[in-house]
Amino acid sequence: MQMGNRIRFGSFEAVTFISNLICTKLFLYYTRLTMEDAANAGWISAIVSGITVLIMLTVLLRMYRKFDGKDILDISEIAGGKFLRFITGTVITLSLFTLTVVVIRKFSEDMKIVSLPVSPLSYVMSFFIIGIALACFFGLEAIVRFHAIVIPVIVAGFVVILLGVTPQMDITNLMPFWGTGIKDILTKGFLRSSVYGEMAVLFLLPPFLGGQEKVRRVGYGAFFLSAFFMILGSLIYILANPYPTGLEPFLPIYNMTRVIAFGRFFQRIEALFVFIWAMAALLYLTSTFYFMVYTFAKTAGLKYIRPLVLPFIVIVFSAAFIPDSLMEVISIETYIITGGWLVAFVFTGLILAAASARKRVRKEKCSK
Amino acid sequence: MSFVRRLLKKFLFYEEPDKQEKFILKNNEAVSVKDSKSQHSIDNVLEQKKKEEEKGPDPDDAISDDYDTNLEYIKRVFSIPLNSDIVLREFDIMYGCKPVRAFIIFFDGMTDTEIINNYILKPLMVNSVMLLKDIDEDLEDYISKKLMPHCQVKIVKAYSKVIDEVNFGGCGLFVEGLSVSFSADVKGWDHRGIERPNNEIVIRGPQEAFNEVLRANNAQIRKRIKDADLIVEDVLVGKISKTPCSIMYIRDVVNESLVAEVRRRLKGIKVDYMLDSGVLEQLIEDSTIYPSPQVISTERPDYVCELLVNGRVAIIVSGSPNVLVVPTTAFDLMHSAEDIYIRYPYVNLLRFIRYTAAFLALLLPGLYLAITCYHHEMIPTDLLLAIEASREKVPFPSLVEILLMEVSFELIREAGVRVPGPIGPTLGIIGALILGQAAVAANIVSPILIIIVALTGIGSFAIPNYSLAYSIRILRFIFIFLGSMAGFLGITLGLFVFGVWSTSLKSFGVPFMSPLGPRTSGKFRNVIYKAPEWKQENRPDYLNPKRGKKQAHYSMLWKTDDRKKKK
Amino acid sequence: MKHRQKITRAAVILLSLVVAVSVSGCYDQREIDDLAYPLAVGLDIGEANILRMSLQLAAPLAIGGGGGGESGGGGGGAATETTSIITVDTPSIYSGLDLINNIISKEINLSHAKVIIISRALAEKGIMEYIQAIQRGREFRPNMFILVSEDPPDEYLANLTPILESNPSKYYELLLGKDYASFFEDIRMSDFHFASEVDFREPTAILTGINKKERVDQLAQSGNKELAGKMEGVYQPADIPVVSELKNVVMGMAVFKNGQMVGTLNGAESKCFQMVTGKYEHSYWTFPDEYDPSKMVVMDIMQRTSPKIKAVIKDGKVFIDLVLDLEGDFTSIQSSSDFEDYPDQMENRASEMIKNEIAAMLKKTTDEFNSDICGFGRYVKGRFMTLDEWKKFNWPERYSDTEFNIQVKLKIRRTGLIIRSMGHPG
Repeated sequence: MQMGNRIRFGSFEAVTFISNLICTKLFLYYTRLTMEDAANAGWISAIVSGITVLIMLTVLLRMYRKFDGKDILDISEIAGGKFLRFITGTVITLSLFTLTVVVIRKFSEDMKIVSLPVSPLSYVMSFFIIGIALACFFGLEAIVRFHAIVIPVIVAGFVVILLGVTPQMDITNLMPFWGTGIKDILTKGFLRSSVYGEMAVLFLLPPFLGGQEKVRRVGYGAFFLSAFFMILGSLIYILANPYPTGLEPFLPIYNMTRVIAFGRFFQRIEALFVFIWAMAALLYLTSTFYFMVYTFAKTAGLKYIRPLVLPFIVIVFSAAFIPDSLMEVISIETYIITGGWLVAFVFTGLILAAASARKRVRKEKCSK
Repeated sequence: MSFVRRLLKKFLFYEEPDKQEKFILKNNEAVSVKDSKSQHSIDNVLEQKKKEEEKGPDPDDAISDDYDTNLEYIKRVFSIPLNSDIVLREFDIMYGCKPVRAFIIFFDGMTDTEIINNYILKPLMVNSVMLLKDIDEDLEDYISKKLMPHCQVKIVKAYSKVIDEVNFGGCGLFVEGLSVSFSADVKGWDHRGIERPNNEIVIRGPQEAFNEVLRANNAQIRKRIKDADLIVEDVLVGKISKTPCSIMYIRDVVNESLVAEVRRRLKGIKVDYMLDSGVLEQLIEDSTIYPSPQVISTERPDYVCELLVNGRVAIIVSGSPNVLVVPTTAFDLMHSAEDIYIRYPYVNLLRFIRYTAAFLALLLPGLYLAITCYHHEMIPTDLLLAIEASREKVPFPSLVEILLMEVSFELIREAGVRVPGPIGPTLGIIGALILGQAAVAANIVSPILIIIVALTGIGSFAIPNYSLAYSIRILRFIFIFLGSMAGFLGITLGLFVFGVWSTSLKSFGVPFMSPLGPRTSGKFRNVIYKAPEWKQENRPDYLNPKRGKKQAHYSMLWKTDDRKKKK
Repeated sequence: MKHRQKITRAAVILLSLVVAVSVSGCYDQREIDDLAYPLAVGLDIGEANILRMSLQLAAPLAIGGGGGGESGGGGGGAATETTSIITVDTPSIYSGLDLINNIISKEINLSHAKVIIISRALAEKGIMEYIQAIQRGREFRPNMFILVSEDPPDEYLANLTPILESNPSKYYELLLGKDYASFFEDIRMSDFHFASEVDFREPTAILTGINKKERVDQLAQSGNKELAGKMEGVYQPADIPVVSELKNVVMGMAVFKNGQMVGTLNGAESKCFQMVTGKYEHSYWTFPDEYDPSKMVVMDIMQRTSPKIKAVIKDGKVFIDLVLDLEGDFTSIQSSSDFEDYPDQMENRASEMIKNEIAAMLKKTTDEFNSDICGFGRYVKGRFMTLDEWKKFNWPERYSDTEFNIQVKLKIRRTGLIIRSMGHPG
């Protein structure tokens, strides 16, 4: 597979691609997270997160305007030469690596809890690993185009879950209105903008998208789509599960699905939703894994990606077993969701700012 | 030992991929024939062909003007008298008052001897005597313009051309003193007429199918598309078989690079013989191991016309009643020829049934295994206890049961195809029923399994494309194994890998899962759901045709009020 | 060469995977007939150990009607029991399951348990620990019914022989899941769990028991004769005046506070409870005729909209305004008076009577139980802006001071097939 110049994909595919990266968290922990932060005002906290991300995204895209068609590695090269490019590449690779490892461990544990309790963890994880490896062999084009086909189906399934909980919804669950207090809502909401951290992958996409107008459209499109679902998801979760009990379940959406029962026949259908979760997980893991390998190859100046897939898969597989128990994984996750915004937005912003400063200086020098 | 070394090398080292780029379909601008410039590949081909014809033959291959040399050469090439069905007839032609020696050569059984007698031999032998006055033309013009009242006579300068023509049912005429030869197309072998289609039966619509004769097939299409822009380009494939294939396309609709690619692939086949479109399909398709076909193969001329009008290219192979149409997408394989003839509500119902059938045929046994082995809470309690009661006496685990029944069903299906006469299909149905019933009574399988297997089989019959049904039959087994290994997780993995594989596939430059995979312009209204015929305004965007619109926005003018116009 | 190598390599890997994973049983694969399905779980105070657990196992051969292929003729006549009860004394639910798994031939799979029956003694002691354990397990259905039984669960389950169905699970679903029954509300495990963990509501459970009357002449022993003809359903399960083959009866609700049972509501009180929470569908109410006290007027009362509840806090005391909109149809006017022509009278009288019943029920919850089972806390909660203020208010302790202002608006809509009864001549 050659690097980047022949592969193109359209804005719809890119929007679904990035939205999936962000919204898969809904299936894992996001709705419980908002409830932990601000009790029954969690949905307001989600709105605050969204607004924070919107502001940061606008700033980043504004700064990006001058760098048509360049991805973040090239920009960092403009900003600080090969050294900064190396640093950026390493930071991105490591963060994607952490995300992949944590999510693959989390999802395998989830599958074990939901449907395969007795199987060993390696058995369950090997399904994800095989899926990732095979999908990476088919190339980025295939992965991103497949997103465009499957994400609408996943969205439809999610909407069915949300509609199915309607009998359990009670508007009084939203009271008291401000939950734990406005200060809590604002600070936690601001910190939790880390869940939108995968938006930074947007800046790896420009060589494939072509044109900074398209990058802007994709960025805003993905943001609005994912923000809509994140806010809607937390709102409905809070409506259907009153405040203290909503904090208990390990898999909040799974719990919501378990109570869906219409009549005698339509009960216990949560296994159907294993389809959409497993599919969303496979898509997420393939995307982060591919971009990790891609960034690594680009930073190191390697031309081909395929031979790197197998070694990296082995590394990810072994790293996923480092945490001893699920609780350790959750504590690692807490760091990610509290500090992720620094890496995703602030770091990218600094690089863009440095590069545009450099460019201005160079322009002035040239004009002299 | 070397096998192991090769295996290790494969695992530890990386082979660079081919430098050459895969074919992608470039965009075309709309150009009509009248303004065409010579950059277009069709015009390039025209010029190329003209040049080829103007070029003289190889000196070694040129026909000599010595009668005996020609005779010896022809006798040697055709192994006369070893070849028993070849006929060499020597005779004289009167040129003015002088007799000139000539001979014709043709294959008995391949030619229509009536035509040879009446329109070649008779005028040459008899009419030449009648016209005994002075002749001012030279012999070549005299024979070709006055003495051969046959519609298809070619003047050739090389032996190879005459030999090819004779091999395909023509007859060659050599005349003493001329360094050219005349070849006439007098094909007349026995062949099947135009019959009903065997495999693509429709209730509503024409009942004509292709047959094995190339020109008859070309005519079937040309009589439906009466446009001068319909091009029939002949290509010969195969060194020994020299099978003529024709590429058909509508010149001002189809994408230029697509035609160029088809031509390139056909010309680039180096085989000895190529006998049928099935062989050709395997030689030009993009991926061999992908289960589903990547070209459409049909035996209905009306369907081919519909596809050509949308901007595709048809490849007809002489001797094969199946015509290939490229490129195709996954969703086209679920369309049938009847879809445009039936009304809007029925066609969508049929589409829905087809997709349900495909889903059942592919996933039902896998899902059954996944639910009964892993996800017991999904089954309603009544059904669960009934299944348990019936499974008490069965000695095999579910997976073995299902495999047993599926394999027997496939056996019955194959056997039913080979049994002759009317017993064939009956054997299939009765065999399945009796076998199933007996198996249940003997407590080898549980009754619900018979329903599952029967539904799966019926589902695979409802899929319109024959090859696609085959591929689904293969994939079903993979899903059975995946379902029994990890329940719904396994099935999701299978769907994911298969989905990404399908999306990475290209059929003649068109991504296989267009227009959903890469989201092309969404105006083509016949992908999964079909809009009514009066709404089919656009050609499929993923084919990049020259003219995107094929219908006016208001195609039913009779609906607008005439009175308004009169005012 | 390359292509053949690719295919060989793929085939080798594939075959080895399939063989290694092995056809007959991956880790979690369980055939349906290797599992035993309990349909009901019973919990009681144990004597040999902390907890006494009973499981009602389904016997599929009896329910499913014989082996495959045979027509139904032979299957139904056999005298096999459709269920089998097994009872163990164990420290906790899961250790009990473990013990049972060791004893019986098939593995227990709880994903089809429809009902959990808790004895009254255990409920009064406290059941929060078991509710937690059940919510944590993935096999338990969140929509299991939760019943409190006056009699020990193993006796209760042993007496349970459904007559109209062959499958006890269908019996449970039909018996308990109906929306036309007003003497109890169908409470599920997930509702119970939510209500027991929040501070604005308290849980309730369905009350059930065994009806020990065998003969019709024993009917006179039950019930309070003074209340005869007044209102229906003022019974507890043990004293319903009914004789039937089916010994298990369901009537009324059990009231909990802090995970312990503190009292019961009888059938009539449950009707009022359902009206206040908005879950009431319809049932028949009998009112004495004002002109002729020995005759009755029976109306079919329905609730079409949820009640409008408003909470006002004054000086730390909560005042709750309750407006109930009901609709009624005349079903029987025994004295043939022309109530149909003057419905207002009947409306006012009936509204008054219903209001009194509801007030009595609410008084019982505040005075006797101090348990906010109707969930008024949800509306009081809306008066506060943040969670801290709400927690400081400490609603569960303040519930007993609450005052209610109830308004019942009954509107009589229809009269059945007879528009005006003519009565006897003379």
